[in-house]
Amino acid sequence: MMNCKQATRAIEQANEHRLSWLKRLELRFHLLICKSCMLFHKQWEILERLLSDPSSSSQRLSEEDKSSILIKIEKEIHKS
Amino acid sequence: MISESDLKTWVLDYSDPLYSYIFKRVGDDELAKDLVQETFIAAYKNRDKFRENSNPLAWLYTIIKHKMIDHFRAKKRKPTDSLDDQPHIDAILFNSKGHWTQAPSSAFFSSDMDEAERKEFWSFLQLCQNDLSEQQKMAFVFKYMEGWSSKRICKELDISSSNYWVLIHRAKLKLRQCLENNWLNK
Repeated sequence: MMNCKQATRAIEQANEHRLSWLKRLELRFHLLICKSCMLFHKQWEILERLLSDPSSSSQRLSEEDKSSILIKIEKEIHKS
Repeated sequence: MISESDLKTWVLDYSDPLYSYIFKRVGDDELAKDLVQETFIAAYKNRDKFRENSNPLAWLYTIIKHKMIDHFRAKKRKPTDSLDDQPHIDAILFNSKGHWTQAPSSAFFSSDMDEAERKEFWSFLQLCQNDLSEQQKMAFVFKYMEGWSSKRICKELDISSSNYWVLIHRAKLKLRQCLENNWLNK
């Protein structure tokens, strides 16, 4: 039987289709009976969506930062 | 061909999305600003390669992506302190039978986070990302932010596939645990 440590690793491998059908079956069964691993799995899915979505975070530069970038670029371009 | 005034407009229009992109990956404000700046300089120096009517931001993203990979490669070459004397996260979270010693908390984030919670999430993520080893960080960024395949990451990090699964599993467990701790103690 697959334990939680193996199951959490297998979730990752299943996503990339790197599991044999037998292991996939074992993983499915484990997730069916283990609330903790199922929760781990579901939460990570949310996290993955957040990570790959560029609109989920938008840090901005201050006007000051932008003008200092402009000054440095100008200096660099005129150097050559 | 881009003129100097085009470049200025680009800085004003595109430095925010570029900064947001690179900051999430390198997790360092100063470094992120430097890379944004270098990206514009590289764009100007290679201005003859830019085709009119193509999307400037897409082109700038291509440049900054290369800058990010170069940055990680350079960091990988530098020897860092060995973390091997610390117990691995999987030895902390699971007992000898492979069962959770500390089960994941259901109070940890959900899909309906509001704007403020999302902001908090990203600041915790930055904190926790910097807690990972250099190799774990690279694997994490390449896999979850860049969407690289395990094969490509193995090649980039020069590791075997079995090493990769151990690495990504530990990175995931460590990051998740750190996020949860920060989230529950906020």
